[in-house]
Amino acid sequence: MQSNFKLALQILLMSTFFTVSQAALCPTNVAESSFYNTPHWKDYCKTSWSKCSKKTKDAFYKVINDRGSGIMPNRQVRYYNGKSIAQGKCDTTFGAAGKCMIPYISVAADPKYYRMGDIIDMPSLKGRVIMLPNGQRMIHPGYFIVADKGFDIKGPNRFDFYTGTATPWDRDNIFGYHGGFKMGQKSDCSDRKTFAVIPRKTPQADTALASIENSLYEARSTRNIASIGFTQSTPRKGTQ
Amino acid sequence: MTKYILLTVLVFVINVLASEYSHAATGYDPSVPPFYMMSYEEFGDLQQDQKDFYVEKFQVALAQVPALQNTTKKDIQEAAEWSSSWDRMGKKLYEFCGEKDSQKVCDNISDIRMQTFDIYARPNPAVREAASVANKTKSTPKVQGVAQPPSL
Repeated sequence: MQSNFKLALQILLMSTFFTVSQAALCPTNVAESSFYNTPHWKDYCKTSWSKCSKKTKDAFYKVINDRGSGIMPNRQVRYYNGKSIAQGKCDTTFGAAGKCMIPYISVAADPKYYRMGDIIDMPSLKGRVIMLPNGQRMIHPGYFIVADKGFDIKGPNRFDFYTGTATPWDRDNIFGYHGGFKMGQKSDCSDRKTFAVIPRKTPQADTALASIENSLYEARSTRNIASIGFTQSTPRKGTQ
Repeated sequence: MTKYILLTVLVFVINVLASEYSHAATGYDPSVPPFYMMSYEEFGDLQQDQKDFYVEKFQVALAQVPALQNTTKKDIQEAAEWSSSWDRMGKKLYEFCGEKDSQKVCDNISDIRMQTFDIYARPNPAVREAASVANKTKSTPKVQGVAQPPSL
């Protein structure tokens, strides 16, 4: 009798723990955020790649395996599965949507709830000055583009913000440990992380994309502009 | 004359309501979940290897959707050139997924969308570990005592 009671209590406690752990941390219009970056070989090999020791290279590959991809010499992107592709006009890496990732603009979200190319509007970021990994300053338009996914990015308000090659410790990484707009704490549900969704292919999305392009143009990230690719201003085939 | 005007207005109103009703009946809106298949724009943005993977798997999965069972890879590739053809395919799939007992097939089709994204996404640690082991196996250095193929 007593053991049955103990078992029932254990089940009850476990189910309560499960329910609590599965419960959403923030209200549905506040982002549960984190951020991630792409490792660059130059951050590991201070000399040339050929002069780099095997130990350093292995350490770099280990980070690639952890993050999914990394930037190799000769403008190649290497993926965790050993596959390499040319960066072309892209300065970073390619996300799940197949498009070039743009630092502080691209975001990973749950594709169960979002179409790739949907816009996330976070007004509190609008006008913030961001130092891009290439040293240029960008005035943030307050919009993000869903361009990637991640294995632990689940739910309609869970987002992983892309910071290019900027690491969490970089002083210039506004989302990082020393930044003025910290995004590292998933459970931080402050008002500044309030967002709205603008579905792709709507006039509002076009306006947001124009605003993003403008911010990037002003930051002279011309390579990123060329590869932004989500612009809807050109009419689709077959809709004339 | 007034009768004709009234009749024309009535026909117009009925047409508008009918089109609204048919839209509501199919309920097809590619921008709202559930996302069973890639949208026209999503597919267009993919890298070539992702496109090939998606077309391959999607065509096989469509064999279980009666209205789309004869769809060939070429049909999908052609539909990717014309948004109206792509949306027509989407509508048929959405209608099928609204039926009872279609859930398993539709879940499988939505999984193909996810798997296509996974090609360039950060996978879970187990997949990464498996890939890492496979990479090491591929690049195994020469083993002593085993004949190596001549280098070209």
